[in-house]
Amino acid sequence: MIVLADINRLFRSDEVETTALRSIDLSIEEGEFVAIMGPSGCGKSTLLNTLGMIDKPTSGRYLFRGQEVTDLEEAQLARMRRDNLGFVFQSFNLIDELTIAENVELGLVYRRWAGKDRKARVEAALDRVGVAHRSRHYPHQLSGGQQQRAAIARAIVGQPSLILADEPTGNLDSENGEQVMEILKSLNREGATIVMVTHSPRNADVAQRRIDMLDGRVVISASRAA
Amino acid sequence: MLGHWLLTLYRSVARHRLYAAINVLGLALGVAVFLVLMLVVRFQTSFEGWIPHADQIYVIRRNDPIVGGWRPATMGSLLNELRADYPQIVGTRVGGGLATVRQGATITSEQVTWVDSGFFNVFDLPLIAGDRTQVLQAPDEMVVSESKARKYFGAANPIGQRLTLILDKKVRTYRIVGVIRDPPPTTDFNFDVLIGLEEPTPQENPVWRLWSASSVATYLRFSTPGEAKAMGDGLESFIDRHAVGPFIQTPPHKGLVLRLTPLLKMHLIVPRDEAIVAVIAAVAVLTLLLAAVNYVNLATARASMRAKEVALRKVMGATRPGLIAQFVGESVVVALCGALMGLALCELVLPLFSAAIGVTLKLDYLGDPWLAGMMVFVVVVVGVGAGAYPAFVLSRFQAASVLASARSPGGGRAGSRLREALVVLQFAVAIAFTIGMAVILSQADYLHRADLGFRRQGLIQVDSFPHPDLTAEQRASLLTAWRAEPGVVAAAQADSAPAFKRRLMETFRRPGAPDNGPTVDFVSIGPNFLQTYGARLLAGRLPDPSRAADFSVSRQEAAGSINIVLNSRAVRVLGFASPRDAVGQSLEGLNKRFTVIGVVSDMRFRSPRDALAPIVYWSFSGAIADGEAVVRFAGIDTDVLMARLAADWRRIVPTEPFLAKTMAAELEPYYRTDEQISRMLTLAAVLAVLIGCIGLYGLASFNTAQRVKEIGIRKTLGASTADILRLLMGQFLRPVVLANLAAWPLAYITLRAYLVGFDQRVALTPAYFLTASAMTLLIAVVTVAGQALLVARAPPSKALRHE
Repeated sequence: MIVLADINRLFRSDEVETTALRSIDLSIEEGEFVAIMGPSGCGKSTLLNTLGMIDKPTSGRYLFRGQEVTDLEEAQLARMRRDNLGFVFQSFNLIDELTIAENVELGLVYRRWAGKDRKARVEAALDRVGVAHRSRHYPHQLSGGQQQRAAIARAIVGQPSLILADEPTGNLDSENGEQVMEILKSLNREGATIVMVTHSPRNADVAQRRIDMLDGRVVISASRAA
Repeated sequence: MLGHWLLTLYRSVARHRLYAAINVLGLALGVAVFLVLMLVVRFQTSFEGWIPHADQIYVIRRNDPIVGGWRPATMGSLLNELRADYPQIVGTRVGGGLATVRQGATITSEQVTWVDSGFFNVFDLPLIAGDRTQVLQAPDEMVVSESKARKYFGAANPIGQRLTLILDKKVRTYRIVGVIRDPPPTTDFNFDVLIGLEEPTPQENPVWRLWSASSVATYLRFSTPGEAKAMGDGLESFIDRHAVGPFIQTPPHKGLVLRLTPLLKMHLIVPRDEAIVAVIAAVAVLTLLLAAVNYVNLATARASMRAKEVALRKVMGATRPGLIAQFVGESVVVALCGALMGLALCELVLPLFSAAIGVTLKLDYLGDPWLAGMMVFVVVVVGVGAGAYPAFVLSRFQAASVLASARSPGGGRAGSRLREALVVLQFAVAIAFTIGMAVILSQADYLHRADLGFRRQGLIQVDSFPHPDLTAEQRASLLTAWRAEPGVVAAAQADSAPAFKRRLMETFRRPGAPDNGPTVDFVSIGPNFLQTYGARLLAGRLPDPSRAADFSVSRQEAAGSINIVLNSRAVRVLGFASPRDAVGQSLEGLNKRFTVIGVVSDMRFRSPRDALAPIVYWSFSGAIADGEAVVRFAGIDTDVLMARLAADWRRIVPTEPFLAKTMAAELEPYYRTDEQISRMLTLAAVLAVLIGCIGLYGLASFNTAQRVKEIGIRKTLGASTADILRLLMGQFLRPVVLANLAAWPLAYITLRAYLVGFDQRVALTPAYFLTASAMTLLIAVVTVAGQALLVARAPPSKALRHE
């Protein structure tokens, strides 16, 4: 599904140049659940952003389902994200001014879905993660766990083929974290490919494959025996 | 402590350079417009305030039963009649006329004012030479202004010098006994040359003692308003006791009413003039309000971003009063910068502006507490208004909750709603100004191009032609000489012309009509008058110089049916169906019989605001009393021709100066006020839109800064740059669209009232509204597009990174 070949990412500011990714070679199969681990600043999030096409690598090739991504225009990238990807963030990143239902709906709005089709899909997605009863509330009226479940609903409402999760349990207590991991696990069982950045070895154990990173390089890429 | 505070202020300004610049510039523009326009208002409202004890001076106004309204003119002997009943009264009569001044071989023309010997008891004018209790006591004494003294006598001491005046065919030499300081431009008086008023005999001036005449202005001075009121209240019974003679009804006060009006009210006594000044003041205040709202809006928007700073300061031990002082202090200092910059801007544009409106305006720093008062007012109101929100709201937050929260507590939904409402207000004013500007400019332009009923180009009007000293022979020779000049197409005389003050009215009726018929202007014209102006013939024919029957020799000798020409308004007023229908019909009036031989188009000789008068043109072959002359020319330079006409004049009338203007110059005063208004409104409108845009830009940059993360999320979810652009532009422009809805009715009502004042006017079409709205919308789009594009194109990973 995904092939990364010799991906490098440099960040330049006026004074310093930081290399976040160094010649990453990686391939991810359809239906895989991959966990990325490593200490702070090792390049996990940059790798995830690159996979999510919201950050462009400085050099290297990125094939998504056989299509070269690095050459695409901004508008084409937006279309790729819209049609194929779902994001879950550590800090939920729900829009404060929109209700839970509106936040989830946003994923479909950009797909140009008709209004009444969107309603049913949003309800189904919220039902799936167990926050349908809070759909008319604003994000700040919900607990952290509920917010993260709403964020997952937003990520899956468009039925993306790839879900990218950046420390999805990082801001949650263990009970809520557990619930979020359960949802991701069942999504994967239903066929979604998931790439998750995490600090928690316990969460990483849920994945089929674990990638360890250090200083912008992949140091270990190991598959768990099924 | 103060050092730290100043440092914080400096850092805050330097760090948010754009914000600071927007804030200060917007306020400065508003202050500049406000000061400039308020100077105009002050100029207009301070007329005659320079005269010592002006508040004690009153003028007597008489109702004008013919034209309507009230005129500050009375019969010549009213003051004498008043003295019979009120012996203690302090008053003076003021009259005037154009006199010819002879000094050696030079002949000039001068506006002369004749006054009673008690003049200086009423008008306590500062004399720089002479004794005010002694001057103008003898009939040959004259008081002149500083500038006239310099004009006639140069650096020499004017006291005791002589000037010869020719007034009403009488030649008299006057002795200068006093010099008054030049009055400021804020006066409607002409006190350049003052001489004593002499009571004429009934033979010399039969109307001097006619109660319905307008020979002089009568001024009275009272030491208290109570005395003035008592006098004013007694005028009705005074009239009943004294008024006798022609045109006086029984009781006399039924037809003749006198009113005492304070001198200080006279300059803006016409409601339209007062309304114009009120509109200018309103525009000034609105523009300042706009800038102030802008400033407060931006300041509070940004203040919500400082909640963390406030919380940290509290943690470090800052007290609430200390924080309030800090925020209000900051705000007042920045407002002061804005106000000072506005003052500087005002000084910069004032010379240009003065030239544009033809009035010299200047800021008086020392002599006028008004300026300082205004500045303090602006700084305090705007500064405290802008500082109060952060000072009182932010300083109340609990430090712990602010620091723990990821969201800024300030603003919120209510805050952003309020800010949006303020932007709506700003743009509503800006759009209303723009519509007003468009309509007033096109009205001014329309008046300039509008059909006057005659060709205004290539016409010269000779204003010295009606001079009473000219003989009929001189007038005839002048016209003959001018007609012979190369380039002159025609020359004619008539007792009606643009800017000509006198107007004769008579009633005319159709034979058999039950009443006297309508009142119609009655104009005496010489041969070729209508041809010279280029009046358009609508029916019948023009008076033909080769047909003796078309011309009368004099009014008294005219007999039988007299051939006349009507203008098209007269056709309507007299009840004819059409111009063609009027030709050949009879009219009666002046105890004579008339036959209409032709109808011409209406010619507009007065202000475009005044309705056109119905006119009967009666042709005379001989001299016309008080007639003005016009010369039609082609294919020759105006100045060259003017010099030749003047040379002919000097040859034929060596005793009087030649005064003439082009027709365009004669008509200019009728258009001046409206052009001044349109210029002022243009300035205000352009700056109002600019201030509005500054506000919109500031708000847009503030909003986008707050929404970087939201936009990042949207892009991650697949929103394209175009989607984001649409979202942001829609939100930024919503207040502008709403503002249109508020501005349209406001502009419509005001402008309709403005246009109703004109007899000739443009139609108030939707095009003005749509164009102004489209223009402001376009400017607004350009203003926010940069901001929106910048944010919409930013890579989303950057937006999501800062957590």
